[in-house]
Formats: sequence, structure tokens, C-alpha cells
Amino acid sequence: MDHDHQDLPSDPALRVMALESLLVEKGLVDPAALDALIDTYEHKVGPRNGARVVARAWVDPEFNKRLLADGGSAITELGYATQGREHLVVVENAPRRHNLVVCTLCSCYPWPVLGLPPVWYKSAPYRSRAVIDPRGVLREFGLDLDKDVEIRVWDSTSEMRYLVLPERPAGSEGMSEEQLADLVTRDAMIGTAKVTLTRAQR
Amino acid sequence: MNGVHDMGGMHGMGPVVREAEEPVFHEPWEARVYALNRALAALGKWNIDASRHSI
Repeated sequence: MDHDHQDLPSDPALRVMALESLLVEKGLVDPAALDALIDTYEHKVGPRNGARVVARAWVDPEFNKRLLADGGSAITELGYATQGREHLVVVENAPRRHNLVVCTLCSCYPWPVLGLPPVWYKSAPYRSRAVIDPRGVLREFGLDLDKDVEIRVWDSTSEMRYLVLPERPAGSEGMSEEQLADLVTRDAMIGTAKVTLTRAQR
Repeated sequence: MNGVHDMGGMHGMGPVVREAEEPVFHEPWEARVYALNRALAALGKWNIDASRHSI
């Protein structure tokens, strides 16, 4: 590269700017709508939503039942909604059963409760290995499960998206729903981590 | 077919690399093009299969 010092935007940035201005000029897209979409995914939709769902399920056994029976319908109780075309399936961890979510096809992910997926979720190593060596993948994430723990791997599609309902950590008995939600990480809801008493970093 | 889809069970892709404190979008243009794609999908000019095929 001879022009590393230049102040011009990068090639993809220029192409996207050109595309956007062309589409705006033709009246096909409203820049304000783009701003609103970006704001939604950067600030409004994310793992915090899923954490609220999980915390509610931990403190409310009836909600837990509804969530496992029909995830898409149950999350509307907290003000969240699927896009309408896909089912949200919630899979519950237990002492001898651990669930892990992947999309070997591409990048399907439960947007309303987790937001947009991290890069590793869309990466070739995760997608290829989660289904043939889930224990090995989980060890790389620092989760070494006992041999007698069954691992169930859920392969997503555009129509079927999965959320893991992790186990409530021991020692959290006295905590409020809000405090519990603070413990629940994105990775715990994908299944690559467990929930601990350490406050989640998001 | 060898492509970016249907990767389940493939070998030789290496370890899973994670990024700490990963932002939703890494560059402003990623956010713009993502939003463009979502907004234009409303025009109904392509379906999800066509979308995936084009990746």
C-alpha cells in the first residue's frame, strides 16, 4: 500500500457511502430509518434483553413453563418480540444436561433476546466444530464439563432460533430479579459459559 | 459444495478466536451497510435464500 497515510475513507467505507447516497437519491431508503436501525442494534436490542428473560424464568416458575412451551410468545410479556417469521426455542440446562447453540449453516441467532451475534459465533472454527467436538470447543471457552454431563447441540436455522436457559447459580437465593439479570452473560445464553455470581460484563 | 454455508463437521478450521469487549459493529460502514440491508429487505426484492446465496 503506497497510500497508507491518506485521509480518504477505506474502500468498503467509500463503497457503502456511494451505495447509500444512490439509494437515498432514488428515494428507496430514508437515512433517518438507517440511523434508527443502527441505534436499535447498538443500544436497544442485546444480551440485556435475554438476561431479563432468564432472570424472570428463575424467579417465576409459571413464566418458566410458558417460556419453555413457547419462547416467542413468552418474551412478549417482557416487551420483546420475534420478527414474526421465526420460532424462538428455549432450552433449559440442568445439572446433567448442558445445551449449546450454533448455526452451522450461517449465522442464525435469536436477535430479539441477544442482539447481533459476535464474530466468533459466525466464524468457521466455531460453526464447524461445535457439532463434532462440543466438549473441546467448550474447553476452549474455559468450560470443562464432567463426562457424565450430556451435551445437546442445537443447530439453528432462519426459522428456528435457540436461547439457552442457564442454571441459576448456587448462592443467588437472596437476589432480586434485577440483580440476577446482572449475572447473566451472552455466552451463558449461547451455552459456551455458565452463570456465576460475578456480575456480567457486556 | 464448499462454501461459507453448511460447515458442520468440517475439519481444519483451527481454534475459535474470541474478541474481548467486542463492539456490535467494528466500523461505521458496517453499521450503515447492515442497516441498508435491513431497510431494503422491506422492498421485497429478495428472499432469505437469495440473501444467503449472495453471501
